[in-house]
Amino acid sequence: MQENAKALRNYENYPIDINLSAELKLLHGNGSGFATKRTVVDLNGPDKTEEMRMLSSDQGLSIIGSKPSRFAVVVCTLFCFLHGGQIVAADAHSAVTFYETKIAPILKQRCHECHSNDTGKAEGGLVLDSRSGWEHGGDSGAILIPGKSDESLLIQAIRYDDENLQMPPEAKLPAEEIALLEKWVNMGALDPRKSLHKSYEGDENSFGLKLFNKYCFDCHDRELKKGNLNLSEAFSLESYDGTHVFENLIIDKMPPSNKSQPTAREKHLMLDWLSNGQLAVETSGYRRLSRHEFVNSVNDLLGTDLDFADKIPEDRGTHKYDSNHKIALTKELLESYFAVADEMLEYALPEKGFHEETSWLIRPKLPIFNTYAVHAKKYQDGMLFACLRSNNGNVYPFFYDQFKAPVKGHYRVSVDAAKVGDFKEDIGIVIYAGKYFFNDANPQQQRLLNIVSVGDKDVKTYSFEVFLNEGDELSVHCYSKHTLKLPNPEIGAYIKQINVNGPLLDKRLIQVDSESIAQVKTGIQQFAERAFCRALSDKDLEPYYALAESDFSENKSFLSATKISLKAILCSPRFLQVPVTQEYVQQHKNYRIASDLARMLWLSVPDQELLSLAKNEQELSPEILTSEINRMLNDPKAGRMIQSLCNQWLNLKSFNRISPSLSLYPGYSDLVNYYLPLETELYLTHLIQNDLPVTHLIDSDYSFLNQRLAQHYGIDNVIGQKMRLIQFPPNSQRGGLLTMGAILKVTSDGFTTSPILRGAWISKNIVGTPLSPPPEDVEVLEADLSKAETLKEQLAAHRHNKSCNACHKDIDPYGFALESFDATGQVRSKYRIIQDHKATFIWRPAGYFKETQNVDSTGEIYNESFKDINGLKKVLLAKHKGIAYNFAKNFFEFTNGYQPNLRQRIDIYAMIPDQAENCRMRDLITKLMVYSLLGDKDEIQ
Amino acid sequence: MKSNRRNFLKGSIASSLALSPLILNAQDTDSVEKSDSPKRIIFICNSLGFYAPNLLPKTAGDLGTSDYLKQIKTVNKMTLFENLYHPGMKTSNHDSEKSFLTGGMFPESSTFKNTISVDQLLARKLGTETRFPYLNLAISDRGWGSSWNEMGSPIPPLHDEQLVFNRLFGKEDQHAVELQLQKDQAIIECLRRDISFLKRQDADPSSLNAYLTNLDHLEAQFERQMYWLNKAKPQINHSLSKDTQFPFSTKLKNLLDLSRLAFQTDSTRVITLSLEFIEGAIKVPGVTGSWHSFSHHANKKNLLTSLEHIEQNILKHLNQFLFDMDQIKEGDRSLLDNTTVVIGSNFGDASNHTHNNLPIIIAGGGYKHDSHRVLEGPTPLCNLYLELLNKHDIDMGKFGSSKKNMALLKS
Repeated sequence: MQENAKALRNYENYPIDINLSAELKLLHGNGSGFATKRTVVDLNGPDKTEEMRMLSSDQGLSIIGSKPSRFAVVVCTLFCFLHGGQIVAADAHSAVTFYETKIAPILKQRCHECHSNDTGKAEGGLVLDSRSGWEHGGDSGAILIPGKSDESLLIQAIRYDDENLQMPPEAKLPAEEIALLEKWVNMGALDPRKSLHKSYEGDENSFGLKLFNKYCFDCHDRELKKGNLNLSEAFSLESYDGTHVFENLIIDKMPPSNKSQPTAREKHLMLDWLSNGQLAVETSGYRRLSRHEFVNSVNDLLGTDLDFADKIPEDRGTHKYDSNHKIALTKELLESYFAVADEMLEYALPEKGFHEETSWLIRPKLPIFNTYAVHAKKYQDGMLFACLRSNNGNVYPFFYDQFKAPVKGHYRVSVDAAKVGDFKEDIGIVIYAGKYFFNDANPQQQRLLNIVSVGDKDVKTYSFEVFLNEGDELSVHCYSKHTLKLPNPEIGAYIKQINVNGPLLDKRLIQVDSESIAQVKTGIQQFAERAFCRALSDKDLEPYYALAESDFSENKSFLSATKISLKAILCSPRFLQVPVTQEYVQQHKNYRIASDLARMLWLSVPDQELLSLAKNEQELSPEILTSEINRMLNDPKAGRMIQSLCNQWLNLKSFNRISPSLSLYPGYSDLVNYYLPLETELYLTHLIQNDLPVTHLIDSDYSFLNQRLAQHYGIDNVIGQKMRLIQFPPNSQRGGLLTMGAILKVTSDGFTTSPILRGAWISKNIVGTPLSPPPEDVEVLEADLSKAETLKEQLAAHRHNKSCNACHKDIDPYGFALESFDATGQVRSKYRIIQDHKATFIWRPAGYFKETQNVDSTGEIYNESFKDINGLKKVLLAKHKGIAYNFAKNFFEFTNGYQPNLRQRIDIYAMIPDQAENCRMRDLITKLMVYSLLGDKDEIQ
Repeated sequence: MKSNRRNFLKGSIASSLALSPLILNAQDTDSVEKSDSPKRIIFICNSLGFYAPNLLPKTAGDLGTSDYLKQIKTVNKMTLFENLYHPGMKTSNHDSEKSFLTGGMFPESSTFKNTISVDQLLARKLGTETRFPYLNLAISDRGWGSSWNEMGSPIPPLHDEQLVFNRLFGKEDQHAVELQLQKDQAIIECLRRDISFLKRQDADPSSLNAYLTNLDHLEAQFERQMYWLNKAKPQINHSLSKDTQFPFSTKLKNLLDLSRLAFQTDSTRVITLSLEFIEGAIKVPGVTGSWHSFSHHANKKNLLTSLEHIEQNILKHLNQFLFDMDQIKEGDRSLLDNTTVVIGSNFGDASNHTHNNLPIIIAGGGYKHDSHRVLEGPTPLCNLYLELLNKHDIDMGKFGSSKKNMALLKS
């Protein structure tokens, strides 16, 4: 709304004809609901402009545009006639829409190839991808006169009026496109990309611009053009995206420290000026539910705990966060929502009733295959297992043929086991669902369920719950470095027996009390209110009631009627896309806030408590919200948000795609792979739960480790596989996100590490320096470790090239600091290169590699040199405000589904205290949430 | 409900006819008339391209002098084009991959909105008589491949070969599926009522319309499923490769085998296969390592050798695919002759991320092949797409950045 009002102000110079819609009505003849609701446009009433927008852009003008016909031309000509050639859209918004949907695509498709900054071609001196471009015209002068299509060169050229000037040269445009362009010119050639231009032109004396002149134009002008940036020219291009300049200013990267610096107030004025000049962020007014949100919501609604997100296709598309507003629902996604809703409903309300809870006692048998039997033997009442690693390096778990899950569900597994042997470490018993053996007839995919840490020499029962699919069998593998490939072992894990109990029925919360249709409807009402997060009248629910009634009368089944109507609710646009009316938002703001809050922090629907808060008439104040956010962050469901943040912000979603080479890193195992991402998640959870300083993202003296990870990191005396807070020894290189194995692995390819890729990761995700993509036709370099030159020398050669160095000096150094960590996150002092093995690869603890050059982890960034990762951390800590700002921006984008605009960035930056110690994770998140929910949301929508 | 289901279905078909292009035209006649040798098409996008010096023939005009193509057994049934490109690919990242089949310009821009891909337009025409209007396949689970719908959204491709196999040839419980489809039809009716109610309440129309489009398509698909339910799926004697030593090669082989089988059994006539590069390392005979790192070879010998191993492996499977297709007789021609195979990439040179001179191969399709065709000056790839559309009786004057149908393919 505000945006409309603002846009309108830009157009107030143009005459608005109040009878426009009346004319439309006349033209249309039958007046069938077409622009008939309002014949007088009153620009002073903002509520009315909204209605006009609906009316004119959705029915009037776009009809002309989308169905070009003789009618369209007639309308155009008539308009010209009636209004002296100066036709203006009934309101600015529709003009903007008209430009964006009709004109911009034509210009882009037909003209930009030869006339645009994007393609770098300006044939005839003309560019058409900016407003100043066409305003300035080409070598032959002005190309169009707003309001006068016949006198405009552009129109003459596309009409092929003059045989010496025919554009596009290959073929004449279709008549409808010519008509549209004529219409556009006659309407005054409204180009919405006007704002920045205007603020610049009209603002020559403005303080902000003067300050840019004072602090920036010295280097970034036509002559020097440092960093390939001519700011004074850039500012005059209305399509110029000021984000880059803005970010460099806000994080103190520019002006460089050796130049004079603007004062805080001056800087604020510059940022302010820049943000005022930017176009509003375009977001659709609705957001679809992501697949994770869908599954979590259904789980919370049904009381189930099913990890079914993978049954829905990856829906992030080409975006960083799956919450992005630009991601649209597709038929394929809708189809899988239909299917997954069915499966989850069937699980919660099984047609044939719940499977009886049953107990199985599995006593291990001697493995039937010799290779296995060598590493296990009969022992007391059960079996003794050593740690097996097969020739290809995989672990193949033992015994699996006495239990098969009858249905999918949660099961309690109890392992009676003891440690045999005089070593201090625990033995890990890894439990997998599924079985695999090289000549299995029906191999099952193995899924790691849990790891039991056995430290006691007496038999004890270790119990835990797991989720099994129908037909899943269990298998175990015993991990201990002391028993690796021991034949006929004397030491190892003694497993006496395993008890399985399930499916556990207390996991199903839906209770069926009555069998009447009235009861079905009550169920629908409660379910839908939470699913849709709004108050619903019987009238609202009528289609769902009718569906239930019809099914009930046909099948006489309470269950069937309930399931079909709940499924309809779960597939409804009210659930999947939350379409809301402006009026509704005004009246029921609380519901909107509650719904957003639950989606942001829990990736789900509100719980009863939040829902009753929404139902309350009382306005949700920042204080109420803050306490609600605190409550929600303490709820285990917040863990979903943290996991999702790790997956997307830090890109841990790709963690499992990378399999480290067992030639180079023979010690890497599925156990390490299982624990590494947990470290990052637990660490981030800890920072948020305990409201620790944001600087802990960069450095701290602790992390969350267990026996296996401590071993991986070379830290002694950590016993047991429970992940817990472990203090690093003094002088350790570890601490903070950058030195975590998960991060170090995901930034490598599993073989070598590239300082460029790691540097780019840090630069993008942690520091938040905006990077331009490499210029075209520049050779991209990969390090060659077999060469005599050191890696750094090779990169230095690359950076010797000035155009490369402009960016690489800001990327590579971060990566240099991480050179002392290999692709699995272990500390190294030398690089490894693969040595060929004879014939087939046979796993061995020594691997197949030789060590080459020494690692050099020195570098220089922001004119400060460092000698290792600890040095880099110090440099980054000095930039703590920028780090916190980058985190905040990412968190905002992650929760809101779009990048903050420049105005919002200023607000976000203002939330960050100057003292690093005062900038706390939970506090910052809470402020961001309150701002997202109560802040001036209208601005951006 | 059951008694009048048939009428009810008819009604909804009529309504969806107007709304959805993806619907079967032969719903009410039980026998589907099939043309003698249906035209088919497959698009394969190798996202990191091919190392040009190995691909391009040493002697212009003679594919026998191309290191890569001389080994292709059906080399006389293919044309390698030079000088095709997509205008508007300024990007230095991998964004151009989004535009491979759409021609969408400036895909790196934050305001980029893609457009419908050429395969989807073809599926509207070619996809009406088969069980599946089209098949979108991809080598990984990234969630987007080469196909984009009319709203410019990526169509999530199938990547799990077992799932593809089951969809094409797996047994299904007809009764259960029928019941399910009936229930889903009732749910769709309920949702339509709710939507019209919401519309009257003046809810955000862009949200509802977007949803409604998807619902229409889904309904059309359900109807199609219902129609095909009592027609037995083809029985084939084929088992997927389970070789775990080279997962990438195994997957590629399986997806190509499934594509051939889908054509052979006339289960679909339009396929896209996206070979997006994979994060981390892949393993093919001769090399294990990061495909992407190798692609940035900067002409360094060791990297190039590794890259060649991967590209050779891909070509080996493509070769087998073309050969198998050519071995299958259909009338007096081969399946390959009735199938246009488009093999290409969004990168001309992945090492430098350039987008001019894309490697584009057209194989099969019954065309008179030119072997090696060097076009005069940069030519929009969309010209060729436009020609393919026209060749398949789709009357369009323009597709993407096309300028004209250049009649490059002679029948």
